[in-house]
Amino acid sequence: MLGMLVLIARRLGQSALVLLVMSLLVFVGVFAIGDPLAILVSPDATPEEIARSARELGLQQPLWQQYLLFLQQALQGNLGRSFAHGEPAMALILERLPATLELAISATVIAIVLGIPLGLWAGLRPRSLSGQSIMAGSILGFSLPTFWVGLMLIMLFSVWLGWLPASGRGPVQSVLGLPLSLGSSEGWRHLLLPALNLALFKLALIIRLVRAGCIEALRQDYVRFARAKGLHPRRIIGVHVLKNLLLPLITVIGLEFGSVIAFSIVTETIFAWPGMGKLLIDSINVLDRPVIVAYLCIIVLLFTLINLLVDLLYVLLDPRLRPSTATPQRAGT
Amino acid sequence: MNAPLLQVEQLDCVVRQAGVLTGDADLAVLQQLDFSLQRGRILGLVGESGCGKSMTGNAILGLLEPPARIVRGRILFDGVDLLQQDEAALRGLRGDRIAMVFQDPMMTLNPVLRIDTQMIEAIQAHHPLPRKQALARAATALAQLGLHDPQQRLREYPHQLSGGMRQRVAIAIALLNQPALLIADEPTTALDVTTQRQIVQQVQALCREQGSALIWISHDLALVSSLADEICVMYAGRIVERGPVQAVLQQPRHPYTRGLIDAAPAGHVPGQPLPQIPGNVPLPPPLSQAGRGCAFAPRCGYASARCGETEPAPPEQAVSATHRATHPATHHATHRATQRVRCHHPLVYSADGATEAITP
Amino acid sequence: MSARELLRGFQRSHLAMAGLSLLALLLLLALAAGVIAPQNPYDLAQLDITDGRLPPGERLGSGALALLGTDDQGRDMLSAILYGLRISLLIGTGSTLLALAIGLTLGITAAWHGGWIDALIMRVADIQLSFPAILIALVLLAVFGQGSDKILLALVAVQWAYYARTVRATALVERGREYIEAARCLALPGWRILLWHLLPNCLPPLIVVATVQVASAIALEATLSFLGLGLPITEPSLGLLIANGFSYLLSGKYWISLFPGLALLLLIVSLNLVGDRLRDLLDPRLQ
Repeated sequence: MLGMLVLIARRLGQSALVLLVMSLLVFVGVFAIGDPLAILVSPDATPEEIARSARELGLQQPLWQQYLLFLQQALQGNLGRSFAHGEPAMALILERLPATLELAISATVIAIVLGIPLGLWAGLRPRSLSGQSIMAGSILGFSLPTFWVGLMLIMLFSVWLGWLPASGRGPVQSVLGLPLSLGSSEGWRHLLLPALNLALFKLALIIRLVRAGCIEALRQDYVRFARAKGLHPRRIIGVHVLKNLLLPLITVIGLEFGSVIAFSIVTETIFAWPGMGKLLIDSINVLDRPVIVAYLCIIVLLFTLINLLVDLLYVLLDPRLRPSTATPQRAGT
Repeated sequence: MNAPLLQVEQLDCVVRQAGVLTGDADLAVLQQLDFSLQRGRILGLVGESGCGKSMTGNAILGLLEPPARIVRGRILFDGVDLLQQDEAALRGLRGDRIAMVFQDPMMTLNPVLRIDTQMIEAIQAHHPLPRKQALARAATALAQLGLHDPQQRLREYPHQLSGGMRQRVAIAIALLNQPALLIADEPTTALDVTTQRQIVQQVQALCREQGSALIWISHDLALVSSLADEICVMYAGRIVERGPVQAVLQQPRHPYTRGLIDAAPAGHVPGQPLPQIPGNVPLPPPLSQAGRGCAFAPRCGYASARCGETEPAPPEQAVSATHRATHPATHHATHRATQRVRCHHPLVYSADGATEAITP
Repeated sequence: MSARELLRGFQRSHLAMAGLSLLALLLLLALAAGVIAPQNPYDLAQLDITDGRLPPGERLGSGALALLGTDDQGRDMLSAILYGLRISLLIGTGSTLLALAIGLTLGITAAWHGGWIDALIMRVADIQLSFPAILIALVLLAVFGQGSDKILLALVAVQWAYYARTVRATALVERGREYIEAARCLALPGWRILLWHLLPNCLPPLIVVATVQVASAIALEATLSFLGLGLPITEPSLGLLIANGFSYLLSGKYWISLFPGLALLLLIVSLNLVGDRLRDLLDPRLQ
């Protein structure tokens, strides 16, 4: 138990270090290379407002003090006001975070629910027609740009078949205090296409991973021993093989969650999904820089948090990494 | 006389090898394999690596996977031909009536499942036993193999155990359902000598106690001689000699067996170079070329022109009826356990058993 | 491995051969765009707004056949696609070659010097690779603004780390080999060993990475252009053509987006097929 605490503490320390480095990078980008007044103060601001902002940002102070001030402000969530919306940039982003998370989590769930069975199927019959077709599909899923697939989905399901709406989020309902689409069938209909679009790359990845892992595991002695024990194939695949696949799978799914959020920028733009990715693109188009900086800070924080969680989860799940009081002992004496 | 527990008859086995230029070819890896085993007896299956020992074990259990497959022969277990059984029937036998342990204890147990999970599933796959009783049986099995604090071991993961402990666990799992036959595929090769001795003794005692027959696959003649009742010497996918362990070891009739015994370090004069069998085990020949001459001929000091042309027939007749009388260790041997050899020029011994000559 | 052996390796796989032929065809079409395209899609004098959004197979006012239809400006889609193919390929290969040169230099430097230079270069590469390429490209474009030079810069910036990593790994292995020792024993100058001995051996894995990277650079450029952050409207790449047609997609005018999309699809898939086969043939671990 103590070993676990030490481990958690060490990982937390590492994450804090990464955050510090990234904050320094953002600071250098905004304050040292760029002109912070041009970046963080609206171009329409009056001279008095500019002067006040310069004071608030501590621009007359040495750089290291400016950095400390920036850090302090960032920690309080104060990263300037959006030029376009007039609201604090951070609040604007956080407001859209639930929509993005809902999309990203739905996509991840779709990728897992479809990817594991398809990957297992292809891994159990690598030479069969079905196995090779799944693999070919996965290669396509890897190489096709997300936006292209999104367009095809809209064309097929919205324009030609008319089954699903092409844009927007539909009605949201408050679930546990968060506004979510999952509460209504109309919400589901709106969520399905963008989630599928976002899921595709991860789906291809999971299929490939599960297939390779399955083929690898089937060659192992423990599978042969499990067969020699007379276990049913269902149990061998479902327990012996799958449990060994779970660790790398969870790592990849976890680590990839960050990139799902990043790629939701594209999907949200195509499907007009009101998340923070679409906000970023809109902000870039109107040069609303405080929002861009705030998005950057949030995404760095998210990535670091995800890495930390995956690390800890991995330790929890892999008995070989778990710090243990029991040490190997010799038998028979 | 009882019918034997296991009877392997004329078993031929091939491995399909994909060739880019030559097309696929079947390699003959087991040829006319023929042996039997009585209930409760211990058979040692010896030979150099690559001669088909492990494949024989896997074939009996129906665990051969493509590209390997059986093309001919019968494997009678308790009078039933295993090769005619469907997968479900075989699954019912595996781990219950016939069990197997493998060579590498580090790889045999699933690294992410606890020992208790891996033991209970082996019981419950065959017997509808409640978890509590299954656990008790598992703990007993672990204790029988000399593992201390079995309750604690059950809650551990494989990586928390040493190699010797893991192999004990694997053997305990194999013996959980008191199988009629245990096939041990070099289970102690990866372990140190002390652990090896203990495990061999424990397995021997347990099999005697449970009445399980045992096939111990090994390249270590000395080990097998301390354990087995009978011995089969394999070379290049064939059984070249078989018989009661004492007879085969004291008066080997096949030049290959002789070579194996002479090459064993035990009992050798220190300082003298260890005699070796020249050359290596040949790769399995394509099926079309199998049976052209004795496979051992290129390495054999006694080979004649005939050896290069025709393969000696599998031995069907007892070579020496006197062995049964002269070797007390084989007093209860049936006719199956008499010494047989697959050779054109088997070694013969003079009456005092010391000198040897070659049949013309 | 000689070029002939490579070609023979390709011939053994039908899929790879199909990819290679398709890629060759697309390259040819792109190179010959100025000759074979029915019209010059950038020459505003040739465009007639009344020809706008003609479905495939209709005739322009001038009587010419619009095989793949026209866009909202009355531009012949086939011509636009041929020219777009050229721009996409140009920016994809251009950025890849540039990134390759930078990554190669940095990677070899890291492997050759070791120590803190190595640590610094590889740490930066690690941090960068831990974020998705699209995010880094977006941030760069947001900071530096838009334009063809900026998008080239962004594409180079997201790619160099792959090459640096690949080169460093290969160079570290090669550096320990006997022939390098032998060259050192001959007291050859360092740069000669680098250039004549180390570099040629680092190339095969780089070629593999580069082939696949061209595909992802093209895909990324198309994505950025689609998001409106890529190339200016005067130089429409395939991505921008698709974006142009997107608003008409919902009203059933599919051809403005679909055909450039198919061209992009064929380009990316053929590059990936060739890259996969190259990896199989050049990676000794897979043989």
